[in-house]
Amino acid sequence: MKFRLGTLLTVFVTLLFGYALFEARDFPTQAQIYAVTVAGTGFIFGIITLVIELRAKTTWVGQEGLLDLAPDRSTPPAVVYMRALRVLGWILGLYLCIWILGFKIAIFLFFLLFLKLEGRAGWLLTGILTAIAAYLMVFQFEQRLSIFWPEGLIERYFELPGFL
Amino acid sequence: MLDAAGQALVMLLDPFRFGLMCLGVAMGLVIGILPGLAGMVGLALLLPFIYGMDVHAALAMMMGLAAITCTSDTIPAVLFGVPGTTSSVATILDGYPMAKKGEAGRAFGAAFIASMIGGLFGALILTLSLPIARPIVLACGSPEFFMLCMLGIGMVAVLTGRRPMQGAMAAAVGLLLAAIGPGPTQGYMRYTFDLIYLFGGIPLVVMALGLFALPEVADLLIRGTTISEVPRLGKGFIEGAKDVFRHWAITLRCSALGAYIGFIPGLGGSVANWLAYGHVVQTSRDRESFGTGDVRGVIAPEAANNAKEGGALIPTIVFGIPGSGHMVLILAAFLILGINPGPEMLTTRLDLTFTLIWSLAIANVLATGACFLLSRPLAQLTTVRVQYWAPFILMLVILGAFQSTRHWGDLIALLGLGLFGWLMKRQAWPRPPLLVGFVLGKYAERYLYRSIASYGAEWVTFPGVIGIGVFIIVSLVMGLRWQRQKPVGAQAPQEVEE
Repeated sequence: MKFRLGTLLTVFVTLLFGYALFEARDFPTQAQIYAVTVAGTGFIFGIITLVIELRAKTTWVGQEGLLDLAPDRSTPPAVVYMRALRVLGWILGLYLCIWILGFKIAIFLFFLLFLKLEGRAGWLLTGILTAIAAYLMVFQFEQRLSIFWPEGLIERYFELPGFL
Repeated sequence: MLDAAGQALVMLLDPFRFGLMCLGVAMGLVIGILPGLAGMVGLALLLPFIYGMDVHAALAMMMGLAAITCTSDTIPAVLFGVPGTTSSVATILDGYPMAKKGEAGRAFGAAFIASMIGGLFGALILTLSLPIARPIVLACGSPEFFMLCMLGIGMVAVLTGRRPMQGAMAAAVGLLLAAIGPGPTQGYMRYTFDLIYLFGGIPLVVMALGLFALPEVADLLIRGTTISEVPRLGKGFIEGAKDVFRHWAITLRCSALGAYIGFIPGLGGSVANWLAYGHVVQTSRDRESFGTGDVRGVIAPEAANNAKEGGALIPTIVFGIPGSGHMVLILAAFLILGINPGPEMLTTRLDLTFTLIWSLAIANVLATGACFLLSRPLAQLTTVRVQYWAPFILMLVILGAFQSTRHWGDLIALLGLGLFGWLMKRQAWPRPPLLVGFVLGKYAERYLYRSIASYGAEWVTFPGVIGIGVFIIVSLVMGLRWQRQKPVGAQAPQEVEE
């Protein structure tokens, strides 16, 4: 019996179905039927899949019959997960900035920092790309399409200039 | 009928009305390219402006926008693997790998011409079916609609080929996520954990962007290279356009499929493109190349998702039942303009019906030309370092997701689904079944309850139900058998230690 990283995903999904089944016990009958059917079926599939995966001699990771985009296998897994954590860090940092500073200021900062630190772009290119993003935000999205932004804490408690 | 058609065409070609239609096309072009901003956003933006407007001009403008989003949404799907709208997700499977091989131009050529033909075919189907639309729609009831939902889910289960258990689990996850929020019968809140955000369920746009857009951007940043691994833009648009005519049977079949799907209220573009993709895979003898950049995998969904607009107009015009999300807003436009959908649209106001048909047809042609002009400069982006344009995509994805409910929950759900989608992709779990399960789950439950409430257990013996059921079983058995004999996709299984 071999435990692989992919098995964790199967365990997680199976537990998700199990929890959904548990929650559904309090639903009224009509609301329960669908939830129990789907969660119960998914739970059974999960158990079967777990057994198959734990007993399998090889890990199936090719694209054969998958009909989804294939993940890149040229980079070692450890490197992939480290870089993935880094990307997640950037997105979480962006979210934190949006929450505190508001979307426009956060995106402006994100562009500056990301292009300089990750893209290793020069100041001129960084400035140009950030300016393009600012133009799109203010003149196209806000004024033409009336797009709504996530508001930040700073916008709630302080009076900011109109373009911000 | 010919008189009304001619009259509508003459009115549409009036410079003012034609200009407004072009304005709708231009707006739709931008909306389709921006991930998450579905055509419904654009249509909603136009609604305030049509008060007091000439009826034909207003309808032309609205249809111009609705028609093109299904064409322009291909651009981000092919270039970045990010769906422009939920109707372009299936196009990513082969369109994006084509861009990676340096064939973005060919993918665009095939997609735009297929879209145009699909759109024209949808308009044609709409015209021809006007006399017979009413009895057909009346013949289908909740039991038949439920079985059609099962067909959609079953088709996608077959698509997963040698990973049927993972595909089935993914579909079940989608069905479960569709249960979040109010149940269709009693309105009882399920799996909401008293969070107001979840009272309305997870928005479809957030689901599509989270599952497909964020993982692709993340993977590109992880790899750290350009999208196109070939330092040229590929064989070009003409080759792609020729591909559409080479595979004319696929184009016409999938256009017909899309028009039929559009005809069924509620199923929409996100189902049409998957069913068309599934159909072309199942019916192709040589299927090893699907998922690795096969142009047929672009032609099929693109033809279908444009054709569905014509099909969706049928129940909208005849019954006032919106055939898709776009049609909800077209219906709102009807009310604003004082138009009553129903029999008079096929009799005394046939000229308005033909205005819609002509607008759909002409806008598809204009859209194709506009997309051809834009896509070559945009295709250059595939050779630019991903760190330079990834921030733009992230910005658009986050913005697009936030427009769903304008609640922080959209962003949190986007991140959670993005993480889950990335892990699924990494562990070779197919994502399409999840999305299809999510889309069809609510409809399936609603139709099931209505069937039981209206007919008890008798509904399982209805001829339409039995016919569709037999078709599902035969498709599943044959599809799984073919998958085992001749798998889809190019790469052999590999053993990897992780």
